[in-house]
Amino acid sequence: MRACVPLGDQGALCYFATEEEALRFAKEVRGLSLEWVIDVVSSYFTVAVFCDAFDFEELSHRLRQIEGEQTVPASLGRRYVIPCCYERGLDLDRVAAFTCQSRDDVIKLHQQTEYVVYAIGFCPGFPYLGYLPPELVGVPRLDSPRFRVEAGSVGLTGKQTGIYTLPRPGGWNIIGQTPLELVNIADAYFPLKPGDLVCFRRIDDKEFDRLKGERL
Amino acid sequence: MTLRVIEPGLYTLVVDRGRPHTRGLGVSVGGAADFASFALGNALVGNPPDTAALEITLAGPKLQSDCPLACVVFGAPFELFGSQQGRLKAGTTFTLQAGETLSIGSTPRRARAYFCVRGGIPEQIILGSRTSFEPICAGQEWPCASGRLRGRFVPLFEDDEPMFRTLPGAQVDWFRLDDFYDQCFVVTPASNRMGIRLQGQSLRLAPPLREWPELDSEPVCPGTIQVTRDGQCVILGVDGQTIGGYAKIAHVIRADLDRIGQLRPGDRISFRPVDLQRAREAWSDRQARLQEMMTRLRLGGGSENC
Repeated sequence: MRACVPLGDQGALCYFATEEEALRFAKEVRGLSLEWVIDVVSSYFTVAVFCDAFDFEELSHRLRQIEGEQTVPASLGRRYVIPCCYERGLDLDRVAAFTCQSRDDVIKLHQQTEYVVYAIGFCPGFPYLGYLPPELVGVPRLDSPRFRVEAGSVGLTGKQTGIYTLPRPGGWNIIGQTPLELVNIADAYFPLKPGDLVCFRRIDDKEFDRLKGERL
Repeated sequence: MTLRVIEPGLYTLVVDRGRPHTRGLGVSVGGAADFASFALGNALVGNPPDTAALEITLAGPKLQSDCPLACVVFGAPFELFGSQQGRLKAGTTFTLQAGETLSIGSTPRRARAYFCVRGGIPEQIILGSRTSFEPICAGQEWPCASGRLRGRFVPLFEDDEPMFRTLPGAQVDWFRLDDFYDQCFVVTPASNRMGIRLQGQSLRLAPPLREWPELDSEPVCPGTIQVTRDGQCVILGVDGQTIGGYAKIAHVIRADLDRIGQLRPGDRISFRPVDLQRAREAWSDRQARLQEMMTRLRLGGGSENC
């Protein structure tokens, strides 16, 4: 790791040179189920390890030791194919105009890329997927966020794409919608994990209706 | 034997300790915003400290039970009125009579209190916690344990000190720190359990920075103070996001987090830097003091004032 700094007095924030190293370290720490670790949260190049009363020097030392003795292979997680109906993309024209691509090319580019889940956040289970192909990078957020983005909406902004797992206010450009349920809080159903791989498969309205409500 | 919501109040939530172990799923910690008040309220009615209760914010609910209930409203000094007993006192236990309606009004200071019932509120357990994801609504009901209790009380756990102690955040170098430590901030009405939005003089970037650097989202936690692009500060609350892309200038230390849960619009606050050693001492002192009060209550302490 490149650095390890205190996260207030609640844990440590570890910085890595690559997203893959961060993902691997998070998986390793989680896998050890250490009784002094309350929680592990990873996001892009950083991993937070939360723990109760601690001495930071000792914590930092232990975390570096864990990194040195890593047993988890540097492989990525599970591979998912998520059906996406691009006809439901409310902002497809805006994205096309911004990137100087046709609607069809935006769709083609979006679904021919394999993405990594680099973080889960914003709302329960929301996967941050990276990175978009260069042609689709750089579309800013909407000037004013929508009050409600429907669950399953697939959005993009900057260099990433993501899926609204629950209805929320949101400012990403919506380019499609998946009919699948990706989160069910009451059932503790959270299939996507950091490090998983995600592809999108284009479906039409009919298939959308047929798959509506099924789980990933 | 049922507790029923007649009116839900401004934002009333079933809470317990929350979900500190599932942040990796993007689920906030949640739970009681002022844990000490929640735990002491529970101790007063004879519950274990983590028993689910109703968290009341600024304007309380109207509740009714069809059996006698042993209860207390502990935290902010809310006005209480029982349809059979008249005025009741926040912070002192009482028996809500069968068929009596309890009206919890507003509070002149602080923001939150906990309505604790002996036996607890049996909300569904999700991801290890009974903290609800949505506020309560009119007509909602829970089965409750019948109970009676004479009046006893303990003083509030802490004063409303307007100063919060902080540790440096990962991007502390981005800012001119005199801007941050030498001013009073005002809590704005846009504050809630997700975050306390502060209004103050915009923080300036520290030389040699001239533009805001890009930042990939990083994990954050309750107490993290983020600075938005307009130079204003947000203190993340217990329902705050698990990761964030704004710069972290500081973190409020754990010993001062409960007081964040009691901030209300218009309050004026300031920050003071401490080191990790101080933060650790403050936390263990606080834990010891809370533990001692709880033990005393368990052994039948507290003052009776029937």
